[in-house]
Amino acid sequence: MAGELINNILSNFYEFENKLNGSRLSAVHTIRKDALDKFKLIGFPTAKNEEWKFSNPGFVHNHNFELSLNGNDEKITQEIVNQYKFENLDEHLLVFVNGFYSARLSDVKPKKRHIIIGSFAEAIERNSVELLAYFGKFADYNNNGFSALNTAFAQDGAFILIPDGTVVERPIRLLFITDAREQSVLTMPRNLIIAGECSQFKIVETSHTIGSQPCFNNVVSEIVMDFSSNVEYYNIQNNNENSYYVGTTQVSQQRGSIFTGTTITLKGNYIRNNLNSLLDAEACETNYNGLYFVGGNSFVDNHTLIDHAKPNCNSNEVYKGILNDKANVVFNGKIIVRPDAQKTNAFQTNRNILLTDDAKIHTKPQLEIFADDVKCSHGATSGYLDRDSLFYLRSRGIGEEMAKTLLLNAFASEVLEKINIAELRDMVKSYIANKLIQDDVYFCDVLDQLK
Amino acid sequence: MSLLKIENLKVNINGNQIIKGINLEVNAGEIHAIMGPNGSGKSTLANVLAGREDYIVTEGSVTYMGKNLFDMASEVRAREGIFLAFQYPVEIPGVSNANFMRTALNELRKFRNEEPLDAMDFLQLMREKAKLVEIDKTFLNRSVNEGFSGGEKKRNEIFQMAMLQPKLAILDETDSGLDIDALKIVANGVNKLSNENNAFVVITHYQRLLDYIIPDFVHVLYKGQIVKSGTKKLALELEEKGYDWIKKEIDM
Ligand SMILES: Nc1ncnc2c1ncn2[C@@H]1O[C@H](COP(=O)(O)OP(=O)(O)O)[C@@H](O)[C@H]1O
Ligand SMILES: [Mg+2]
Repeated sequence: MAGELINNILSNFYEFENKLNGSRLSAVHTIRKDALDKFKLIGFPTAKNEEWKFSNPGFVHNHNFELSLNGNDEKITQEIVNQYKFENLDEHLLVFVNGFYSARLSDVKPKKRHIIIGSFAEAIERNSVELLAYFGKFADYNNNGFSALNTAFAQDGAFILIPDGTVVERPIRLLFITDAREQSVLTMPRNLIIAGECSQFKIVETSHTIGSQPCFNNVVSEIVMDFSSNVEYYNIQNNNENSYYVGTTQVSQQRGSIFTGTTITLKGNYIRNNLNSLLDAEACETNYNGLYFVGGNSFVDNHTLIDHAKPNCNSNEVYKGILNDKANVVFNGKIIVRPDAQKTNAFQTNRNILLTDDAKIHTKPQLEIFADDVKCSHGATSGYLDRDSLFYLRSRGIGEEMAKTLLLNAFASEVLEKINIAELRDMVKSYIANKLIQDDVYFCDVLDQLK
Repeated sequence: MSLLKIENLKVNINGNQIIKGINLEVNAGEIHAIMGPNGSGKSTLANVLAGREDYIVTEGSVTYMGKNLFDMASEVRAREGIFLAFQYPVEIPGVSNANFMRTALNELRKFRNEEPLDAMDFLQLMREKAKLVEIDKTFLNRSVNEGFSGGEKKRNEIFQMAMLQPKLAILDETDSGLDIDALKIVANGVNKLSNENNAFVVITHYQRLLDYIIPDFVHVLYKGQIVKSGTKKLALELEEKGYDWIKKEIDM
């Protein structure tokens, strides 16, 4: 079976090369070929690999995912896109269909010169110096078969370049639509996000599947941050029950930069998020916020790595989870503090609420500290909703489901409050409310309303 | 009119019988005081009436406004007018007092087929009731009971009672740990609310609260049973002679 899949991929690759024509000798393609060689060597990870022990990606062998080598947005209507927009949110919108940029469906607002909010394919075509400088330099593909495969087929995705000293107010939305109405698909978007000195902006990535065929999104994003830049990166995962997702985001931070990564997982069959930051300069700040609220038979694995390589950096990581039905969740948070990284502050918490006896959580903090003058802590808890709190609320006339919703939102609020885009925050809040209550809800805080 | 009728009530917690056959009738317009030494089952009785699920009723009946109380879930009892001021109110981080009370009030209104209160009217009501129990406005923004002092928690219970206007309010040692000023505030809250259509069951360890809330009846609960009932005079007698007097009489 495994051999069959690899053979398909190889023939995909030759087909891909043939259509490249003249550009097969380009620097980008040299990296692709190198990545393909790595993939041939290591293949997909198995449960024997320590990093994949609890998240065996056996699904790759059980489905006939079709890799699309060309963009085709014809079957996606404006109405489909509209339903994924946030109400009243003014955003730069980039739409991708099966991993390929759709100019027709995208809506990038007027912006200052030199700001690039566009596609990876365009950047390759115009021989972008930045793309050549950064592509494949951060997301390691030597040890991760998924990243190797994505790199080998890197064609399209988002290419964002915010120049020095530039603040972009509107959130930049990367909307990935997977069209699984007719056949099962494999998409491999590749994103490169470059933050110039002192630049500041927000990215919101959301992925959605239409149709019910199995689909697999294998995504890699590289985020390169120059001095004192500030990037907020939101990843909202609300795919269908038949979707598989493996995403790797690699962040590289320069001195004084602040990265805040927020990962919200609401639906999907199999979701593996690798979020990694290398703090290879002083005075950096890294914040990871995560919230997963999943049920059914969903499997979610958040694998994070914060690598403190230089002194005087802070990292703060908070992942919270609500597990319903038979959800199966892994949290693996690794923090490395290298010998040079004195005066590091690194904090991590992972808290979980299980709504059923069938839900499973496996949480594993990994602190590897090689410097002595540091402050590091981690804490992990999992348990059921507090019965006394539930009784207290019900004793005031609040129905059981509503009481649960209040408590769950309170639990999630630590993460929700850190979402700096109100429309996005409200969407997640009402999602939590609606999942438990069909009735109308007086949900938003009254005091908020009066502001 | 009979609001509450408890007949031969027996209750187990974790297999131990805690309430061992209680009879009590409370009519509209009355204030009952229940006194008794620690561990005699006062809180257990209060929690059973409010619908705590892990307390198992093994015998007896409770009728509330003509209906079987045990047919109602905890929230339904509240909507029908039962209120328990907890001896140990829980802290709920992340849920603001305002949001909590608004949700509770609107659930109550929905139950009565009334429109939800709009935000302005609601805030107005909250401010008014907060004043009654002399709690600071800023507390409305704070999480339910989080970081509140013992006295603030007790006043918050009375505040919630004032917001929800129950028919039958059970106050479980709301006076414990309060200084005399706070005690007066609590008593004032009760007296303002009290009328001929509602009733109060005031559980207390000390008689001093009863200087401010004048009970019509006083009952002594000991080892899961009401061992003595009387008027306010009984409370004074207890104050004077202590619980040992009762204990001796019963344990003999
Ligand atoms: N959750 C519980 N599990 C076991 N025993 C309990 C529990 N709650 C109360 N009890 C026992 O029930 C008895 C009565 O307690 P309680 O009703 O709190 O008394 P009071 O309020 O009169 O001080 C005590 O002996 C106490 O230890
Ligand atoms: Mg008690």
